[in-house]
Amino acid sequence: MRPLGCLLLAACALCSLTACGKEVGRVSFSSEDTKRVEFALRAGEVAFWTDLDLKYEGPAELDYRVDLVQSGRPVASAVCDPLGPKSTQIGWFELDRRGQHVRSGKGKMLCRASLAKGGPTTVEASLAFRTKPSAFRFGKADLVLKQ
Amino acid sequence: MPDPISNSNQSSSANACIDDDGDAGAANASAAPANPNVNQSLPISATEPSACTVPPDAVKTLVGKFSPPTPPPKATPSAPPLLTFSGPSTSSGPVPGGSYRVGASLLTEQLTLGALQSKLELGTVAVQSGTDGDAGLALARRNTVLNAGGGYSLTVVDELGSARANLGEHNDDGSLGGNLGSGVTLAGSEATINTPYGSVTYGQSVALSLSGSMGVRDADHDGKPEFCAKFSVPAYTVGACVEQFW
Repeated sequence: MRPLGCLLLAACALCSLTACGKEVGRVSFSSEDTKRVEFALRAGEVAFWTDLDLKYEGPAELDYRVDLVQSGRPVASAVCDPLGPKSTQIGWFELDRRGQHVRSGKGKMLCRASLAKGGPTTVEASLAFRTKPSAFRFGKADLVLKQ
Repeated sequence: MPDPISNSNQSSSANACIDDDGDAGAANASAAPANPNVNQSLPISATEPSACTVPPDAVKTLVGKFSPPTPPPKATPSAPPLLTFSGPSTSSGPVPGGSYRVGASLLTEQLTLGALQSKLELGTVAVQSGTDGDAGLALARRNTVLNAGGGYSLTVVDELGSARANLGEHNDDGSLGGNLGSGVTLAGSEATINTPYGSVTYGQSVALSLSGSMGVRDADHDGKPEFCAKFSVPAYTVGACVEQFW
């Protein structure tokens, strides 16, 4: 198992050197839903990751719609696609078989937001299918904020 | 050895849901950066430059047959940053002709910096079956593309510790035809120069492998077919695609 350990170590090192960032908040989803959670965010870039475990059948499009609100005012928003391309994937697993699909793992989505100032920030996030698959089952679909 | 899952340096669309008929599903609707070589209908029209004459029906049929389908409409994600890690994921390429596909990776990291695109994969395993049978693993693989514009680009693929067996009709160079091969690579590197008139590939490796592919493509979608062949023997890989000029 030594090579695997080295690979994991290299992966973590690379991740820390690049764009992985540090988790500053997590909005947990286990189905289509809308949630509001408050986090303390710093000024600057906010990266959105998905921590996904989803099985579905047929074509599907899934979106996170995220609004960041400070002092009651929306300051940034983003639309993120957890099933689409990702710039970074960690422990990612995919299966496609006769129209059935599995997606599992952590991935940095291409969306992002920028905060002009830090402080308590309410994250209003909704998870919904744009194209609903004929059948689906969420293990989890957490939205993870990293800075 | 390129990624067996993505199956083509040109086919960079990711996370597509492919059913048994090979239809691209909507999950890939927000596919990333537009790749002019991928999934576009053929620009055969009266508005083309005069140098591009409408090919005979037989050629049109051939090109149409060997060209990828029109992509689904794209969603609009948040505005992309100027400098970002972005791009399609590796272990999630579409599976043309594949009825079963599984892929896993420890880490996939992609960087786009102007004309330079780089993708690094660590610990990748991929298997697919159907009209394209392909099984491969790689401890580490790096794919670097430098786009010079005007249809010119340089692609370099470096691999460390990989194994692959393949038998199918969708080839690594993006052509459709046939491929067969198997082997193990300790370390290797392969460079491809792409031009509007075709491409040339050369690679060297410490490997024990034999593979070959032949096929037809229309990477620049100018309606003229490109005839491709690529062969690997232990230590060397050579390949070329030549656009029909006769």
